[in-house]
Amino acid sequence: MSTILKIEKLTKAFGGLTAVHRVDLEVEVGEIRGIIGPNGSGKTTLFHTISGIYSPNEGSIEFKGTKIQACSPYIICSLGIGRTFQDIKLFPKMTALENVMVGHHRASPSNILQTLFRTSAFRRAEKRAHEKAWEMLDFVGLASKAHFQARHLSYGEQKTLEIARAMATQPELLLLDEPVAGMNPAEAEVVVALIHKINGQGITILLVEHAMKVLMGLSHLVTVLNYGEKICEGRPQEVSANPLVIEAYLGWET
Amino acid sequence: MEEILKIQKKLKIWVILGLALGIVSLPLFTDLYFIRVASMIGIFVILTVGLNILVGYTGLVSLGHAAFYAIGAYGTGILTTSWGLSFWIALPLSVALATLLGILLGIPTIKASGIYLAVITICFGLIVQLLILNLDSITNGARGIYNVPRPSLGGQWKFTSEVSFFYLVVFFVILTILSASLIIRSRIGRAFMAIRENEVAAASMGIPTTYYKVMAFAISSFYAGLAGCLYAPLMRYINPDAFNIGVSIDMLIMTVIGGLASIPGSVLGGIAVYVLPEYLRFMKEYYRIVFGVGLIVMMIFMREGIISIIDRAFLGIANRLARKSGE
Amino acid sequence: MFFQQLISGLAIGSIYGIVALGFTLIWNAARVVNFAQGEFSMVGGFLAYTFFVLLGIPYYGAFLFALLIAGAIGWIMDFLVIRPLRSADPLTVVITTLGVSIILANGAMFIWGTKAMAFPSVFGSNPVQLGKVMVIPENLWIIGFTVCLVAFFYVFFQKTKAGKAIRSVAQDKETASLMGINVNLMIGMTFAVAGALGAAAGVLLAPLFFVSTDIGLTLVLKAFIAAVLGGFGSLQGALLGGIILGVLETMGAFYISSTYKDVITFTVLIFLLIFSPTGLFKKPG
Repeated sequence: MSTILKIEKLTKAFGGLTAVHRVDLEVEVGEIRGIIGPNGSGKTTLFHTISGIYSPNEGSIEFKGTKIQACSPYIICSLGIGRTFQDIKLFPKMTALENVMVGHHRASPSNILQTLFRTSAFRRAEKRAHEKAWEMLDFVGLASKAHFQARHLSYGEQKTLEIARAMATQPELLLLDEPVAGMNPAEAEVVVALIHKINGQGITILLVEHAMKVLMGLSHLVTVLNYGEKICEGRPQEVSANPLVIEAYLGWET
Repeated sequence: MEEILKIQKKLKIWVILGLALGIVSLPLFTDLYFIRVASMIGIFVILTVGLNILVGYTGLVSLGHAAFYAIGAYGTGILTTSWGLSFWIALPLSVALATLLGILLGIPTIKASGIYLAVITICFGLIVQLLILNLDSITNGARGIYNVPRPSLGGQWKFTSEVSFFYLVVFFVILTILSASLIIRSRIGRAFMAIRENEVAAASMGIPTTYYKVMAFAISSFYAGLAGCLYAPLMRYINPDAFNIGVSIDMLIMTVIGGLASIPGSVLGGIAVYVLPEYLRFMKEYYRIVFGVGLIVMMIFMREGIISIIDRAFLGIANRLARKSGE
Repeated sequence: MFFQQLISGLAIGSIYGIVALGFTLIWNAARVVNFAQGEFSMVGGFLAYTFFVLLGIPYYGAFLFALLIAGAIGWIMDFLVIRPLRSADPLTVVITTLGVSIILANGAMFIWGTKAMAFPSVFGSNPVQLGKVMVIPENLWIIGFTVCLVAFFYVFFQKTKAGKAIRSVAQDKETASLMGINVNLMIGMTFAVAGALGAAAGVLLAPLFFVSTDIGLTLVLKAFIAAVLGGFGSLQGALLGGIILGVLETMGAFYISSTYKDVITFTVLIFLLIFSPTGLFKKPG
């Protein structure tokens, strides 16, 4: 089993506030790793630092053997890390289809001359992008909403669309930030099945989720953060029984 | 719904064809003064379409775009007078210079955005106008450049008549609209819009945002330069006053009024803001006040631009046609 | 001579600073880039001209009336035009303020005509001996007024309820409204204050340059630049930015060739904005 993601002593602080403090993390290829912790424990900051939105103050992030902690987001994406966002960052006025096609951006290159003269290279790339996008929409079950603007989709559909878009970037590692937040049990079930399907294709998944049952049910291993530090790591059953974890969550509703 | 959209599209195509026909045959039923105005409108349409790519599609505000318009005009003006070059050589050179400077202006987007970028573009526009004003030996300063020649074809025939020059402008307007549409309906266009809609997400999906922002600047300055290259021989006289910040502001207003992120909108915007003063002449000094009020009313009630009204009108007509054929 | 130029620069810089202050107040409270800010100054100048020169009302009275009326215009602007657009995107609001500036500028032309008017200097525009140096009293009045203004605003924003309410609206509208503050009222008041500030600058400017209808755009551009220079959003920064701009302009025109001084100023500004986008002064916190 090889390591796809290795994080060492990762620290990210904002002024006086340390959001992530010396976190170590090692994820194997094909794993589903759950990241849990109370609000403010640094989960989203961790994701933002991995995907290049933030650069860490200390520590390193190694993806497939390459150090990426100093890379900008679009490079990290092109290396094979895709992601969704906790607060839904879709392109509101673009259609669902277009949103997913953007995910396919780097995989279907064409330059301005090819664009202006509509060369066969251009038309092939556009066709590929179209096909891939439809494929993704089908995969997540949103094909019927392809021509709807993203802002007109329901909340659950938007969250699912984010997954389709992230998948279009052809990731080897997928960061899912609260993919079922705000969904009813029926919708959540669909997304859980989707995540299983994605993992079944060999894609490694890093999952942040507050819905405990979902996360525990999906994850092979779970890492627990509290106040930016890792306090526990192990299999779901072990972690849920750990007194440190229970204490951190005292009074916390799942 | 699909049916209605198809009808709407067909309606639009007919209207565009009709308008195109009307425009091409314009010289048959208007006088020379209006033909000149029409040429000027064409030049503004090129400006507006170009600026829309930057502002409407990519979401970047520039309040200094008159600078590129000036570079095109002065490039052509200087090269065809003092240097005696042909218009057809001066044009690509001037447009290339404008585009290069557009790339230069785009570079600050690596670090600056929003308000700060807007101020940078303001300063840029002011700098270019000041340089034109002060580099007397090259640009003739405040006196301006006279006798900019009309272009000629093969050294024999000249575009001296207003009608012939009008058709030259129409030619470039069509090229502009076509090329802009081709760019927008592509991966590049999607990248622009993604950056506008959510830059962080765009970058996270693999789009090199600075590269595309610079490209947006380059493309919009290309078109602005092109417009300037046509302006100089049209007026046959240029001076720095025609390229001040007021012009940059007018360009932005035209783009917004017509409709952001819409090429037909830009055509309308360019037409409207230039044609209105002509038709509202009778209002004289009231005109600008009415314009200001109109601007405010539009922003409150119709901020998607004139094109949104037209789109809705077409939709309404398409609806009625669909129902009729259904009966 | 140096000292005289310096005082001159400080005076015009104070005027820029006051306009920039009003501009920044509106940005802080309503996130609006107010392109009409310069027109408040233009209108202020004309109002003072009407009251002082045409109607013979004493200077301070004319000054006050100009401030009150401009303040009312500011309030009306917010009420009629900005309030309906509270949630609109920034570009829409910018175009709207441009619309207001067009109305104000052309309205002024309509009322007062297009000729530039001369405004007499109340304090004296000829250099007087003051100790070892020569100064123009008018400039001293401008600087002195600005100092008092700064003191007044300090007290207003730090000590009074209204001032603190406006500050909280500027920091966080939602929380402010949850605390029972009438956000719309506060924003309206801010616009009124900005209008009055603009007018004050215009009245102070009147004896230095002619009272004319086309100074609005230049002033708002300078205010914009000054505000960003001092760190966009900072009130002290706006004032200081204006002063620096004024001093640079005046000294530059005197000591360096006046042809290229502006080009140099704007180029320096561009570099500043790229490499130190928060302006010359760090914002606290």
